Amino acid sequence: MVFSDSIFLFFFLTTVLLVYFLILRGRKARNLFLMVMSLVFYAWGEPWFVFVMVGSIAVNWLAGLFLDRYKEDPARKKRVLVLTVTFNLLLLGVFKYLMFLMKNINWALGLQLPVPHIILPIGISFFTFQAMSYVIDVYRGDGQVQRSFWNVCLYISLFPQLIAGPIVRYQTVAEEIEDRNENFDEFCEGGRRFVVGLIKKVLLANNLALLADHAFGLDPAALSVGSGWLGAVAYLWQVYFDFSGYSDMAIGMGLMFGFHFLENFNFPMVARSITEFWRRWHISLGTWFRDYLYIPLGGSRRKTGRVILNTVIVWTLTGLWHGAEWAFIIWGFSFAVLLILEKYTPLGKWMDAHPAGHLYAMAAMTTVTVFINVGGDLGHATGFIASMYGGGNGFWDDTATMYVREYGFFVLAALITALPVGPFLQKTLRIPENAMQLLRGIGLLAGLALTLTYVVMGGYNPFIYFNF
Amino acid sequence: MKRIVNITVTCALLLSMLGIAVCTLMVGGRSMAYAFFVTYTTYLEEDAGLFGNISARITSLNSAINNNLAGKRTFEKINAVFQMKLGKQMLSFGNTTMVRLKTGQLYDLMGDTDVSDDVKTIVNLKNGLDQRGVPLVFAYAHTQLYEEDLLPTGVEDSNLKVADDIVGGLRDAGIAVVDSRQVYRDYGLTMEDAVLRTDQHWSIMTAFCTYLECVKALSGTGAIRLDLAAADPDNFDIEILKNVHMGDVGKRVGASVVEPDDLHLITPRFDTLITRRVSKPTVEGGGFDEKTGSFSEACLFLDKLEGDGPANRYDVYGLHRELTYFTNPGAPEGRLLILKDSFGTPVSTFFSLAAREICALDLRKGRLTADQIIESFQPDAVLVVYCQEMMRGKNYAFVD
Repeated sequence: MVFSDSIFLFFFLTTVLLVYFLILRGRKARNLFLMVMSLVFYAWGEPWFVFVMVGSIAVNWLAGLFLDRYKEDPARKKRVLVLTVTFNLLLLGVFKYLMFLMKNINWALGLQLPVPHIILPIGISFFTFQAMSYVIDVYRGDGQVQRSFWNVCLYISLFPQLIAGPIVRYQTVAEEIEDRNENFDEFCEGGRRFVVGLIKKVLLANNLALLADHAFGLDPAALSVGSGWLGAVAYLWQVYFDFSGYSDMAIGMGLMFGFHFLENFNFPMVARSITEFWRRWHISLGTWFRDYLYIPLGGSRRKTGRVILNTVIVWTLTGLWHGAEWAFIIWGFSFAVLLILEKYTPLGKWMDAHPAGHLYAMAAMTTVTVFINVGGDLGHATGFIASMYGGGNGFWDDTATMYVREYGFFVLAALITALPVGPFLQKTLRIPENAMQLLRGIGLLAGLALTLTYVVMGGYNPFIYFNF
Repeated sequence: MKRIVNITVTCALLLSMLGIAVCTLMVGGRSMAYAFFVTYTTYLEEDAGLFGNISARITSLNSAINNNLAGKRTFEKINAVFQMKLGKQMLSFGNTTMVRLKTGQLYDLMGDTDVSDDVKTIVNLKNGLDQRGVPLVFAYAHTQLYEEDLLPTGVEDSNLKVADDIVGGLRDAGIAVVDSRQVYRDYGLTMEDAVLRTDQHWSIMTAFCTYLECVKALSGTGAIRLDLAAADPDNFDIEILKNVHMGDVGKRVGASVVEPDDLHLITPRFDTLITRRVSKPTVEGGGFDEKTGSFSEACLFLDKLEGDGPANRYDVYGLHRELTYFTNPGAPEGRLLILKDSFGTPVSTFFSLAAREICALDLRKGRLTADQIIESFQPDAVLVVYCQEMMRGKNYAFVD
């Protein structure tokens, strides 16, 4: 089930809201209901995967109890942590990386070992990272142990953030699981935020996806510079609006139920460098890797060589987290290279001070992101990038004209939405705050009406982050 | 103000969600329950266990919900108007993309596909018929792109390529093919009278001209006698009913985007007495409806022209049912089996004028196979009238 599906919107969410607010009263009843509905939500895609997730939750819940029991015994505590983290990584490894590993062993050693066909449980990367966050936070004392299995289950499986994040750290919602205050104002704030996310996903991401899918479906050699760039930009923005829209919907629904999830995006398209871009993009993943991997590895307080190594490790693993293909590893490694260049050469400082930094950051992100579109087909990715830089079918072609004619509006709307145009106009034209809010309200109502036409008629509705 | 905006937007969201949910349940609740408890077996895989069973029910329910969403057509129309206002020439409707051809017709784009297996199935049918000494003629009903350069700039489509694959593949295997594209050229048709604006079907005029060519092709086999006078265009009256037809494609976008079509009413000038028997759907209890009279009385459904405003009038030339039999005592003795899709429905209706006994079978509508009907009907000749969609592996069930 995707948030922008008619089934989720008109039946699942409607039912959950009605029962949660009109029938149930006590905290335990509401939590239990949310948890059960979260499991139903998860099982809707593939019923047996729910047992994989509940099994993972049970192990991490038990680990939390043991960590609490051994809190005065650092050695045992560490052993429990190591075992639990190993379990989580193995779970992720088997479901997500075993096929990739076997294929590469066969390729490297010229063997014919059987490659198992394993179907990836939806959102396994997200819920595994949340489970690890729980165990590590309890180990470090950053969060209290949760004795109730159902509450751990609720934290990890809570449907707004279950399959595509944001990756909610245990310490963020630890208290709110048992003691939160659902109120009318936050409910409405959450509703507005949900609408923003729905519009981003359905109106922008889905329409940009049509452009991107078309461009990436063509022979790269047939692409002109124009159609290549339009396709690649559409893909980057599709990912952005898909994921940030989903995050908005998750944050909005969280607010409706009284949870306060942290922001996951902060206008990444205004970044002047890749370093800044990643501070603004998928913040929950970036901070997860920073706090649970980069800093434990020594962070940036080591010698230059070690810092470079740490950066390469973290970003290669970030790539690998997104998908079990070489393309994802190259994607992550490319960021490591760019981040190192920005940190240790004058490039970073120059970009920070110069408007050309925007162009550099966007061009770099757009180019590198081509790799994750094509997955395992590296030849296609390099061909596509070559066409973007003039190695294909000239500078402009009929396909590019068609892209502008058919998707120009959505590209323009995406540009306006991706940049803080509203605050800029308000400041420049001195528009009063109330008038600005009114304009936003009218825009949201019109956007919602259009969005519902797409949802009801069953428009094109892919969801990229399911793959991750 | 922010608070008021938040409340208004949230209320709009909740009211839409609740409104659509309640209306959908009222209109399609039974279908949804039926899908979950009964028809889910369609999605059940062989040897499915408990989880497979649950998955099948979920898939079936998902499909029923999506098909029964309240106001779906209205939302589609609003969306189409929005897309047109943006200046788009390719209207996206989920799994289909519609374009307006340079000649004004609406057309669903077709992707590339390999039709060699489907061509092989027809060749196998021909081989089986050869053993019985029964000739086969294939009428290829082309979809809309009868001329070059009709698509908006930059739009890609594989209709013509796949059409060539089908026709070329069948001819290479020795099958006589009547290609409606050739008919279009030979009869000097134009896009205006050959192709409907609001429908993926061909016009009745193109179906008629194709019928005329099929009569020639079947007569040429020498295996069946046909009334050639019933294939002389001079023996027919043609009346054009203005702005009466709104096909399914047009209904998706509404009359504000595309004008209704004209409909050709083509009837014989000579006297006719024909009996038509058409099977009733199982949900209506099965059996046959029978009617005897002139061509217009027995074979046409002129009641479909009643009512104000444009509507789907394609059914005037026959219902898309599993089996239709025509008996025309005034025609030369001979039994013709027509395997057809909806493009073939008007063709089989015209054939009631030329052959003594006609059996028209739509394999999509029931459980009969081509083998079974050949065995029971014992035709002198077989005509297959299929459009490209039928050759793309859709709804295809030729032989066991």
